[in-house]
Amino acid sequence: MTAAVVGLSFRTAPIELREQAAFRADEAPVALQRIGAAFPGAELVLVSTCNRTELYLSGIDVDANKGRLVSLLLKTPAGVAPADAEPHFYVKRDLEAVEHLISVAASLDAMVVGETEILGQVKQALLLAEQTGTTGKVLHPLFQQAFKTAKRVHSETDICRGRVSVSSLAVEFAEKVFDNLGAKTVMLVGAGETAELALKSLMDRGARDVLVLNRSAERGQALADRCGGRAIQFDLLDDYLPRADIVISSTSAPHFVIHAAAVQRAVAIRRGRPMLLVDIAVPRDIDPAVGQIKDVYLYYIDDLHRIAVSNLAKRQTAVEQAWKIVREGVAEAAAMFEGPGLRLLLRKFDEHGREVCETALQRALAREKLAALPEPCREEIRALAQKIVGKMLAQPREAVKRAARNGELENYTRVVNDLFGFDTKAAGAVKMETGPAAPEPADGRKGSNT
Amino acid sequence: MLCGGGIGLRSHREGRKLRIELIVAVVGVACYVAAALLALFSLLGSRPGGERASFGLMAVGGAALAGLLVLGGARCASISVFNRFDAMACYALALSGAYLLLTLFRYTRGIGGIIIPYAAIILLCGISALGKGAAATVPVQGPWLMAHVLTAYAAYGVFTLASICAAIYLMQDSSLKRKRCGVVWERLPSLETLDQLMSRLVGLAFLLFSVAIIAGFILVHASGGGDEWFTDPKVGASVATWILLAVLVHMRASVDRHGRGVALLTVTGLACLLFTFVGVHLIAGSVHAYLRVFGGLPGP
Repeated sequence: MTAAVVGLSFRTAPIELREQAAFRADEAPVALQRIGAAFPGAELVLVSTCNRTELYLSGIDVDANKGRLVSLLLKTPAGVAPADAEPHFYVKRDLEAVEHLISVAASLDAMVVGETEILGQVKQALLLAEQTGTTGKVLHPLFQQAFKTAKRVHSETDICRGRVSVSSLAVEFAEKVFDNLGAKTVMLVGAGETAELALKSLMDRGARDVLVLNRSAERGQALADRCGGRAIQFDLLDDYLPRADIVISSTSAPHFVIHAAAVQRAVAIRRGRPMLLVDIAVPRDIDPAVGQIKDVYLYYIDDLHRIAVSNLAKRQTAVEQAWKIVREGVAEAAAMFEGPGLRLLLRKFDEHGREVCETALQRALAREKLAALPEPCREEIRALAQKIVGKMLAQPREAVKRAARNGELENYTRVVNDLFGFDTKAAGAVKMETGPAAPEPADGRKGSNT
Repeated sequence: MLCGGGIGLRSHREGRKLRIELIVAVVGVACYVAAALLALFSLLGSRPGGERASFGLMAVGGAALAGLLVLGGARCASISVFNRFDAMACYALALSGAYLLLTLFRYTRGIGGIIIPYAAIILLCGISALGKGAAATVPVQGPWLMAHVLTAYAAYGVFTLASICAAIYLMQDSSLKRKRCGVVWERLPSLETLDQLMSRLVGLAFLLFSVAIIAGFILVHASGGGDEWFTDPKVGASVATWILLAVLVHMRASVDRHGRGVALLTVTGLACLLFTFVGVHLIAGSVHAYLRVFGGLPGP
């Protein structure tokens, strides 16, 4: 196998450096083409998110070219010297790279374990590489294997169960109260950053009708313009409350802004239609008595944090199980790539067995004592000899298959060549067949079989 | 399934037919029980899934029981729901039929985990009367009897479905109020979905129940029945249930009420319905009591 990854993530690099290596959706194709031009014929997939930038590659001697790759991955080399950045970049090869790819796609290497957005981002990266023409017979099947395993991790473990951010929890509660967020009115009281994030999440799920109430009319109008909503005078809060299905409050007021009496009145006007109120302000904006009102569901920031922590703990318990699936995925990928080599080696076993058997039989049957044996008896002896040879080779064959599954075929191939005296040239061909033909890098250096 | 006389009156051939019917009935009930276990596992288990299989098993069980009821009805040229098992099977079938129809129009994840076990429990309640005939023949017959019985059972099934939606609404409401987000909470539908389902199902149940009551009155009139029908406790309980349904429909259609209060009233309606269906026979005599078998339960 000739796959490797070079990259940095939130685990190895500070945000200042990650910013230098982060490629937006419109920048990624250009970056990919630039790297592709430096290493013609190499397979490349560029995964760039806010938490990581990774270049998956095949056909490049990654050890010899790490410095070059790092400088190509930095957007503004003037900002950070590649030599300073290089220690923050990691390099993983072969099965280690495969395991890393699968763990990234399965969201095991994420800042928040179990966030499923990363799978979509990795898929997008592969799509971009396909459009740019930088994927081939190594990276494409590897990524497909990563997607397959990531889906298994998501469906067979609790790794993705329960939301773990305030904004996504607000959406989850909204979807448990309302059927169609597209037909609901969201009221934003105050223009805090977390509230805006929650609003964005709700709008991503279809919410369209947004009312923004802010003490500063300009800020309120600006936010309303950004989200396509309507800015309402803050004093009209109580009047507009009955219209709101979802209220997100995040003012910096030192006192309650939404009182129980106003909500009670709103619920009466709404004739029992439920209301969801999310208060993410500290100090609180909504009177706790509101939570006692029938058909009103009130959540404070502490409630959301408590649920997020509990969900995160549940996810952590599933991590071990998820890693088990990842290891299975890696073994499948290894078997997939070692397939041609394995087939060749097994064929050598069969040929060797037949050859030994036939030679011994011909010598034995040529002797005077056995020469007079009738043909059926000769056939019996031949069948028996083949059976004995087959039984003797069965264990080594199984051991080689097992080794291929564990990614150790290369070592076993050497041992088998020594033990059975297979033609070393042919065995070398076995090794070459385990990965795609390594292209020559642009600098003419010979690509190693990484 | 069984009309008139008991097993002893049947010929040998009829006895063999009866044994086959018993086996089919047991298979039908077993399918329901298996479907209920699968649906419960799908709702409460650590891994979702199995809902479709439970749905399929319920459909197989339902088809077996429906076939038996139709065969039984054809044999006695009447409607075959005058044995406790038949009555319970008819009620369970009405509920599962309503659920199947509902899923055709709107797939609602998770509610099968409560509906199918409920139907299975109903069937198990009647299983001891399996293979036993009705105590007496029905004093009134005719197409109006068919209309009365079928629409009444359909109303029972539809309203039970609405009440189960209401019960799930209350569960979800309680989880949201207590801020507890468990597995069941995750797998059941939103409050608004349940509210909409309740609203539509209550309307349909009211319509069916109205037809059943009207058909009942026509049936009594056509058969020359007297005042004993109009002073019958079961008739009184039915009218009370109908009034409750009318109140619910009014609250929905005219006053546009939603939420926990309406859900509570709908669940109360199920208690009222069960009293009309079963309870009234346990605490008072009824003209409908010709249905009673071995201290068992009646038809509608």
